[in-house]
Amino acid sequence: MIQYSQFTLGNGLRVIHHYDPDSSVVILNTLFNVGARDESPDKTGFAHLFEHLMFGGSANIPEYDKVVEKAGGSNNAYTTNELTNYYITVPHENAETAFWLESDRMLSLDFSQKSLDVQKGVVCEEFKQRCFNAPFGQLWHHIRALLYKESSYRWPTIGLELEHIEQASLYDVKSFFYRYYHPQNAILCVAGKISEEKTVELCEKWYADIEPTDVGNQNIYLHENPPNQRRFFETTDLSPNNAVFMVWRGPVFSDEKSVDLELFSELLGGSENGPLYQKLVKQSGCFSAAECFYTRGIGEGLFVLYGILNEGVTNEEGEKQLWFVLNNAKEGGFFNENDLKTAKNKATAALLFEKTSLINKAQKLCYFANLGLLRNINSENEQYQRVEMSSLIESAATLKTDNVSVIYYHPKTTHA
Amino acid sequence: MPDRLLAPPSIPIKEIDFTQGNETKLNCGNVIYCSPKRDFGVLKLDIYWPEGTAVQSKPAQARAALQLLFGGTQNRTAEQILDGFESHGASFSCNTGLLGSSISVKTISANLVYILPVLIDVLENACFPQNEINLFKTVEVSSLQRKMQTPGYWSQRLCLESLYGESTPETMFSNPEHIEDLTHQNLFDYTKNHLAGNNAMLFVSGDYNDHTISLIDNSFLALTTKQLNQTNTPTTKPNKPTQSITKHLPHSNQISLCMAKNFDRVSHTMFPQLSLLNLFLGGFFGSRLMQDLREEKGLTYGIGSNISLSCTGHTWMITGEMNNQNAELTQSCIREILNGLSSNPPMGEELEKAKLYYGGQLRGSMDGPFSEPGRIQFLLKTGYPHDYYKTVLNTVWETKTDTLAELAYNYLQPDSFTIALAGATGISN
Repeated sequence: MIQYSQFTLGNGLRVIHHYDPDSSVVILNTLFNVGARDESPDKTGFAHLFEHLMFGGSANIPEYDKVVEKAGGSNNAYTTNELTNYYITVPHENAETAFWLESDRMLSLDFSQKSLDVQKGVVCEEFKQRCFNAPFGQLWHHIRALLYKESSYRWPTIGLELEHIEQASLYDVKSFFYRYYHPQNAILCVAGKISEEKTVELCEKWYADIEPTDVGNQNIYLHENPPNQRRFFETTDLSPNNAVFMVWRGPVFSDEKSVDLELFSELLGGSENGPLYQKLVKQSGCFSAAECFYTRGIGEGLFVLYGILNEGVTNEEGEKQLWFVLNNAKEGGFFNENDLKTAKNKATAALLFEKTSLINKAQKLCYFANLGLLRNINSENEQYQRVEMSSLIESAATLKTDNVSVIYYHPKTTHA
Repeated sequence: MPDRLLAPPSIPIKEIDFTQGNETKLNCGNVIYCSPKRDFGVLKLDIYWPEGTAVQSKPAQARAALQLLFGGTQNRTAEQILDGFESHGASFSCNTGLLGSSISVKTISANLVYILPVLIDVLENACFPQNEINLFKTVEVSSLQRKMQTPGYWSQRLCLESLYGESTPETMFSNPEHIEDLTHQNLFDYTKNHLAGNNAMLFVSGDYNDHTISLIDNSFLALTTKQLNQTNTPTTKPNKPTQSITKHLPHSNQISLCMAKNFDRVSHTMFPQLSLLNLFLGGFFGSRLMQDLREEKGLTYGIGSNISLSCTGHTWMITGEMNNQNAELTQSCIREILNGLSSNPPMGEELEKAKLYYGGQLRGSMDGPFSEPGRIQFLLKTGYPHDYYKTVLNTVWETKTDTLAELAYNYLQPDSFTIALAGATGISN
């Protein structure tokens, strides 16, 4: 069980407290309800660029990182299509420093053209490193462009193009800050060796005077129906082998069917004993890798199935074999109750191991709170254990030929 | 309203009060290291050998042998082995480094009793079926070929090979043909000589009790195969390195830089000082490399430095990815920073800040139920004393500017580093 308590400040900031007496640190994890899906189509990559700018100093604390380090702490952040998450870890004796830092940059950032120009340079190099200089670097560009034609889910977090980042202006980033970086749009988790009483005291001291500058993100997005016919894209890539990716949109996190699909992906391709590996990698000799996974998101769920092909195997043949395994699996052809039990046992163990990490707990508490599902955080295992083979097969039946998006990759050196 | 211009008081971490685990010799003959127990319902069991690629006779041999222990035994197929773990929610992972190899088993504590027979079977009866060897080769070669497309892979490889020789145990790199050439006998020989179960040191951490230790002891008693060799780590001196190497990758639009040098093993009192110096160079966000190249000039996304162990000493390495148009400027800035650490060494606030950071990070790193085995394994590799972690912070706090300047002068001369650039260098190989 993850024990926690929660309260809300007068300005709308939701706070969750988790006490861990065995820890020597305190973590402040702040989740802002803003991600790539909140960007404009001609200004993508902003949520991520902004994440970088948040470390450039705040109104009263020009050198954020220096202060963290002097307190013996460390910090980092990440951005997704749906949220931006910041975390700072400090020795528990210096917890108040973390409150001072995090509240000040929620209050106001030290915007400067120089800081913006520097971070644009940094993010552009990150873009190149991740997207242009690694195999499958643009996978998520391609996947999202296929799955979505109008929705703001159609671009990846890093941004659609370098030019969008290069053209970001000070006005753009200031507007972004005032719209999304305020108490009503944030959830703070304070976890570690700090009492609830002290947490309330420090939250009141450092956060209560921050006025909300906008209402919280209403999360209104254009709803786009999933594809109702096969979509296809073909391109070259740094990978020296052909590869096939197949993607479907699926139920969201709060839908119990997403648990079915998560377990189905585990059965199909989460283990070397699963049919993807056994049939395609070990027995057929056509693949060097064949896997699948299901990502459960707030506003989207994505089932991804892929294979990297051995030399001499065409993409068409690869896709055919992936369908063969998938279709058999959808009919329950490869699985029995023991396999489902194994998948559930793995899920149980994974949840237990998660709880050994304070940062995992802090981030999870924020994530569930953001979903409005904090009350379910300790019943995750029950959700997995409730899944029956029949519901799993029923959910897998939605992975069809007429709603799939397929990508073929060819090596750059040999593509005609 | 709080006074936001006034920083809250901050307490420096100058001492670490932590409970160290204990070491025991079991009836089976294995030494077991038991970390302080934590009540989570899960545990980790590490089986550790103080040998890795440094003792392999062929590239890729050590890693292949360890992984393929799980490829099948006289009693179980690879699938049965895997099922023996997964059906109880357990998992295993294999790690082969230069000076150590390990199998890590993670399981719900109550299920260890089901896992141990499978694990003992693997350690005692691995038979390396040819079909599993062939499969391993296919998968590994494919993965390696993908890695070889990235500038970062090549800059590090070329740099380290310049220091230690091509495809030597020291570098841990291999080519596809090395993997293809591995034979059943290669794997069998390596295992017989270096991976005997009763020559392993055991580490248990997480939620366990005396009964768990008895279970482990009784299980390992069943091992009969004795390790044949107690190989000494190679002591050959590294190459005289090439100063500068370049590799052009036609599809790149970035350059990856790696600068590295080797030096003899330092004492347990000097290593913390060098670690502190490394912090200033590129060991954390507040380092000179990070602040200048990334935060001030925006030249790079990733830039940093680290000190790792080599067979006879240490490797000091600087790595980063940069805009290809700024490669000259970046290298020039790095040289300036290296020189600056001796001519303008850290003092005052900069020095204090790094020590404060070091203390906080060191203590924080000791949190969590599974953090101790890695620390102890570091002591085994280096030969540093058992109380190293109780004294290291003291050493750091006592380190003065003059010491850092002298260390920087002795160790961080720019011309003592080999530089490798890979990516959009525009220079044909």
